[in-house]
Amino acid sequence: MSLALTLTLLAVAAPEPPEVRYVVTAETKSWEPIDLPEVQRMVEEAAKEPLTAPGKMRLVSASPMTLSEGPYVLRISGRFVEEAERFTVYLAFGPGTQDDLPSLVAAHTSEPLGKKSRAEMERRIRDTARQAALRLAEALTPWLDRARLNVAPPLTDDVQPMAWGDVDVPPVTDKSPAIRTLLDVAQENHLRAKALAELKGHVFDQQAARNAVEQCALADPTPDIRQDCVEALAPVARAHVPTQRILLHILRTDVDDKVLEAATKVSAGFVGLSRLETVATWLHMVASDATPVRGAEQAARLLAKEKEIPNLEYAVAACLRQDAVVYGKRYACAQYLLPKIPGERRRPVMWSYLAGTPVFGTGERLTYEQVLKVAYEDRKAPPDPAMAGLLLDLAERPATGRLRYKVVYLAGDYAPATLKTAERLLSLAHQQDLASNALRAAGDLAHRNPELVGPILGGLDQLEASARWYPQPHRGDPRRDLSDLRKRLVRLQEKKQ
Amino acid sequence: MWSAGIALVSAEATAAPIRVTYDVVVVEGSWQPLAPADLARAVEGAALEVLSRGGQLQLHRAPGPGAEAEPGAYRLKLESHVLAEAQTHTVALQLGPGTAQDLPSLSAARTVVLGGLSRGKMLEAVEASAREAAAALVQAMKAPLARLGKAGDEEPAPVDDPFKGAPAPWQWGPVRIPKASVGKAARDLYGKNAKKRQAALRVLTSEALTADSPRHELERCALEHPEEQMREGCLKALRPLSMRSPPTARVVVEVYRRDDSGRVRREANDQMVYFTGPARAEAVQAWLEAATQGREHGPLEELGDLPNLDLAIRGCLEASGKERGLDNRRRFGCISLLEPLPHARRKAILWRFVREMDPDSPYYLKGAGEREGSTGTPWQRSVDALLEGMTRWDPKLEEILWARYQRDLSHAAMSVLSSWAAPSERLAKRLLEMVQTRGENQALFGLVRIATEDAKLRPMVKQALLQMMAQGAFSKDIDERRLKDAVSKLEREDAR
Repeated sequence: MSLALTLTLLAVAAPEPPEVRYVVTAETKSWEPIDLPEVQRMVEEAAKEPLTAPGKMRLVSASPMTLSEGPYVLRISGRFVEEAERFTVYLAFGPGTQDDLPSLVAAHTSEPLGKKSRAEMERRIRDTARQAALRLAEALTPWLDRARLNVAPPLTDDVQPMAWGDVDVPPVTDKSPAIRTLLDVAQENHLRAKALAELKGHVFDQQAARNAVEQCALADPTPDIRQDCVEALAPVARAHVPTQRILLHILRTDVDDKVLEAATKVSAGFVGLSRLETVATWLHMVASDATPVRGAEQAARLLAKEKEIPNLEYAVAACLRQDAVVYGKRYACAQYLLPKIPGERRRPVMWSYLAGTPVFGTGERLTYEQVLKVAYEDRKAPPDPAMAGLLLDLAERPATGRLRYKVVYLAGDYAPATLKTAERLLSLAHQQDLASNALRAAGDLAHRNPELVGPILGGLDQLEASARWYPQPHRGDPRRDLSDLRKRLVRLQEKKQ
Repeated sequence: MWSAGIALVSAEATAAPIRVTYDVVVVEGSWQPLAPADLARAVEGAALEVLSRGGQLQLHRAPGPGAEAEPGAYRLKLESHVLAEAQTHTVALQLGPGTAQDLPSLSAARTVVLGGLSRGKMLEAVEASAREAAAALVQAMKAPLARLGKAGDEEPAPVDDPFKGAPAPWQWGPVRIPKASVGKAARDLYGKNAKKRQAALRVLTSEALTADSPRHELERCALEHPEEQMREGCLKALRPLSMRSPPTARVVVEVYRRDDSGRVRREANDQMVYFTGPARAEAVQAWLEAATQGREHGPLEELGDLPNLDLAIRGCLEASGKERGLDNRRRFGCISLLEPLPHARRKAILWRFVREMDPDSPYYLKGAGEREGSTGTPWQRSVDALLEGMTRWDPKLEEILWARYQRDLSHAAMSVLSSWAAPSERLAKRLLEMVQTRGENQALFGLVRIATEDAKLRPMVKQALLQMMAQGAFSKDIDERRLKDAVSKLEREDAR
């Protein structure tokens, strides 16, 4: 049967697209170049088109009261960012009465709107909404397909639902001596620190002081001073969106632990749409190769305390697939974030990590074991044949190191108790260092499926004749293990008869 | 079917030709003077032309994702990437384990400058460099392939030193930093006034976050500044950039390779652990190069079997042997890299060193004689590494261990002969000699072990022990009661 025909049949057999109830809101603090109801209308129109075009969801307008009565929920929000004079659109998809799909959020920020004609502003806002909707559709499609067509695609593509717009710090024109000193990085550190101390008290109510400290937080060459500047922005950052955006930008780009720690602490207090952006930024930190280990760990710990985390699946998949050698970040994701993904949605997130990661050193082995621990935490679940096959694949790759002992052992517990699995295990028992665990796993298979006792006993005879084990002092003796297993299986066979 | 038993796949080595599955990867950069498809074709055609000569390798292109295919005994990755700013193209060939692991992982690379060439000349240069890299890979594979060719049922005999004189297959390309118009800060960076130098560094650090020219100045400074503190400062300033900019990452790797200062190299190393893609591959090769030279080698121990690892360990053992005083600690570092290698590959590396008895030779592995039981030595750890994964006892190793025991009473040699060596009359005589002349308790244990395992040896061992006791001809470091116990054990074994 051709692939095209198969897909057509799948599509014919597929159920109706799911119903998604949505609301649209728009907000601003002070700058409102277009009336908010008009903005809401244009955002709604522009965002709906990419989401419904593939026929993957039915969008139904709802009131805030009836929103969560539908199976899924979509919150379309937009806000003007004063000073930067931009417009950001957020699309947050989440559970209503059903929670089989992940929470996802997409965002896009417009080009500057200041000093543009009304028509151009409208065009830019509509384009921003459409871009955000396209990003959401891209992130959501594999999951909708999974639910609709009952297929489970691994998260292998680098989908990035959040587009981080540029951050803008208005040029500081009113330069007092303290501002001049702070921004002149040729000045000695102690002089700039003194200038910052002078400015600190004015950050809350003087724009020039605030903008100078923002520039310092972004670009001062000395990490200690950047950290002090971040801390000086804490009071104003509670409610001032442009400052919040700068601090979130710092979290995504700075590489100093102290600066990141200070910015993370401040960002933990952001609320509303900024909260959404903050959580997305923390996810970016754990998923990015460039984030220092401590910063990523701190973000992972904070995320673990959150109840609903949009985009979590994509971020954890990207985190586990990181290419950088540094240890700690993947483990933090496996420890704090992977358990937060519900069991049925976890498999595609773990798959490419489990299948493709070269494991050798202690650090990577611990991470891998942590992922396996999460994968098999529900011991009542029936064995997943594909996952168990993956464990055996790993055991057959000598370059994976000591982890092989563990996965062979796990295969005995979880791999389907079939002749093929038994063959693979006994083949692995040729290797002296794996022999004891492989024999034990073969014994476990026979206990789970007594039909295997005969074939395994036959396999043990062949193994004994062909294996080249050398007796090693102070270590297990595979010949003794083989003999013990044979006795156990014979007893089992006799009992069965 | 169910009653037919299980067909076992034997782990024996297979005969040549070796099936290799290959893949071509083109990493796209911000500067892409040739289409990725053209680059892939050029690299694949030229490299395969050289690699398939001689017929020892059977090369098959890996199928696309999801497609089923017979896995290769080895995997070969042909990688092509261009570096913006430097305007260079690098072709890297990496051979690694597939279903087999007997051949060492190997990697060869060549870099050529493409800037200023016409499209045709660029393609010619890429093809020529791919051929050169393939030839370097073939050269590096020669000795291991010859060793593999002798394999049948028997483990290959250790070649004395298969890696001796092997050229480094990874060739580093030039680092080219674009010339920038020299601003005040860049001039002050090299000035006589220390305060002005620091101020210039701060200015460039800040400006480099948003502009290329200051970054180039910092890159040049990290590579060339005569003052260690300034090189370190410039390198630190590049930290947020090296993780995102491939040309900067290349500079950091070069600093790690060339700088003499431990502080500067540590900072480079700290940045390199965050590199990804081709920059990560270069970082790994730089760590291997450091290992080859007997220097600190970053996180290599965590990374398992890597291309060129065998060459690096062998070089590491030799280079660290030349430096008196530091050789023990450094050699421990070299030996710890052996862990991911299977037994045959460990043996190929270690044999030349383990058999060396001349303390003045750079191959000589230091031991601690009879104190080896209480302290780790390179000799002891090397012998342990040779025993790991061993499937049959090598009589030549026994000769080496005996020679080492005779020369400096090596406790490790005595212990391995007693606990591991296969029973033989010659071994029995050696162990008896150890008991008689040195009162070695462990050797007595070894005698009982081999006489229990091999009944033919029992009368001879028992007779010799009884004779020793009758004549009192044994070192009094051993209690006579132990000798009596040993004889009783052997008698009980006879009775059984």
